[in-house]
Amino acid sequence: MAAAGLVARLTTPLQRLSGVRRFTLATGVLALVAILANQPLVDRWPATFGPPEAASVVSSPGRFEERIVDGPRGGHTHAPAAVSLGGGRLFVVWWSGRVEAGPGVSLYASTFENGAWSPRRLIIDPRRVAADLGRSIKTIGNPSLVRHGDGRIEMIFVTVSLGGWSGAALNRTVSTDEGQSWSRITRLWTSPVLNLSTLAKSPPIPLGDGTLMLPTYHELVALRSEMTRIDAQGRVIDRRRLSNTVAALQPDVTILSPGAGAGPSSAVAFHRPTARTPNVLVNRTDDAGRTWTPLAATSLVTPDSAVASVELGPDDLLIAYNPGSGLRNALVLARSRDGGQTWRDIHRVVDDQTPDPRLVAYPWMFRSGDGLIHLFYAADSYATIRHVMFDQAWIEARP
Amino acid sequence: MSAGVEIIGPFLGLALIGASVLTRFGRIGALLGAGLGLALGFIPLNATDTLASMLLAVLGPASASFYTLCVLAALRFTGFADVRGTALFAGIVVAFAAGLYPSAMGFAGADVYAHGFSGILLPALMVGIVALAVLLQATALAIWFGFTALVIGFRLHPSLNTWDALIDVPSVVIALGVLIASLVARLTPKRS
Repeated sequence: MAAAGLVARLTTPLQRLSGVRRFTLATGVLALVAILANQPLVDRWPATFGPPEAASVVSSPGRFEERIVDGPRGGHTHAPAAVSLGGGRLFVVWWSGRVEAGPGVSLYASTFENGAWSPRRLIIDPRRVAADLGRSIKTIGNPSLVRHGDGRIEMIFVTVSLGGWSGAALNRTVSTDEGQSWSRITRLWTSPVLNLSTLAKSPPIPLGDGTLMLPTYHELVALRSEMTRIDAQGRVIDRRRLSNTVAALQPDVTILSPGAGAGPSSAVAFHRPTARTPNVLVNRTDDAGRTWTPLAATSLVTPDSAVASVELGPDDLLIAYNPGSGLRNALVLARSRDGGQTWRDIHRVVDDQTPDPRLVAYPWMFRSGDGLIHLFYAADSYATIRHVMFDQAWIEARP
Repeated sequence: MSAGVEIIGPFLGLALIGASVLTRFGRIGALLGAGLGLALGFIPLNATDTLASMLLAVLGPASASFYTLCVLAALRFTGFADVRGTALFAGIVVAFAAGLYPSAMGFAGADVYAHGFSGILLPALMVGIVALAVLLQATALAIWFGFTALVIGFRLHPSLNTWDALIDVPSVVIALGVLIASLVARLTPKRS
């Protein structure tokens, strides 16, 4: 009886509402329930990064090797992204075609084993993407790769349906056979403005809850660095824009070792600057990417070019960048022993001082479980993909 | 989320355009126009694309606002009276866009789009709009709420961001047109 009375008391005001008001309230409550089920009311960005790759560093007397992965070829060959397959094997993907952002630009791959790179093979072309997504695709752009602990390789790559790079969107696919075949491609939804203009260039960072933090950037009208969080099903579930006032793009994140001022969830991000403010930009997180310090300029000057970085030890960072403010005619390794406060060039990987230099750009750098550092880049005016690998002893021997 | 479901939006949009062109010939004209619009969606543009798939590639999947506008237009084209609260609905869609899009393009201090992934701001905003809709008996908003529940509940949009379930660019453009037409009609009342 009491329950019936309570129900009557609660429903009486509803019964007094007009039919239109009841209908509006009912659909409104349905919408609110759906919205509350769709988005958590509290921030669920994880507090830690994922477990680091098991390292078994082999001490060696100093090793530096350079190889051509692919090329030289006519047309445009660019934006390598690579992962370690373990056991000294590597896998690299890049885009290649007649002209940048032109029709038919496709993703190619090569595998490094037994000391040599395999001939390139086509892995994804615009027709495949169009068929999987059920929508028109004009061209393909930068890939980004990560290898999970269970051996899966997850690839996120740029496509354009109409226009140039500011019309780009991100897509995702997974390989369970070391890059031989790729799952059905899905679209990542990252922007409310026609899902336009989100790109990626650098390695994703695994977070403690199994999701990925993908360094991304927005370039429709304003250039903005972002971190996009993607769940295990390949859905965008969160994002952080690193600045809404400073122009920056192509962030590259390096997780820092605990100690020397860095906590268990600390990382730095280096950003490609614009031609107007040519210093490489940096900011830092101490909570696994949830919040970031304001962007600050480093002493490294670069001609509107991407950078790549790795950690050598506590407060000890290595960066690959194009120096100067003119052409991309050189690629340099610079080292900072004070956590990025000051930098010193330690090696010129490429330095073409001829009147008509061959350009070099888009470094991708990572450290494999055996301790070797791998640097990939587009060279010979974007006709060749090159690979350089070296170890800590070689770095320590640099003057 | 398959492309098959997403393709509903472009077909509905083409039907809406067709109906609006032939609505001067009455209900039969509107129905004929809608049918022609639907048929246009199947026109192949090249080896892989139809007009509908090209529109999907460029404009993306539809939001609750778009489905609401289609229902409002269908009611109007088939001779029913204008739905109460249409101008208010259009105004809210345009206001949402004014708050969201500049930030999304990097022109504001805060990242408004991120509030569609988590946080209390957008749910609180919607509570206020539901209360306003009940108070004003805004049927158009009731339809929007219904489609919002459907779009989110049945994953009719691939995005998990609530903003994407609520509004999209084509809807904002149409809503702006509805809002302007409504304001013009109020400023220039018909006299008998």
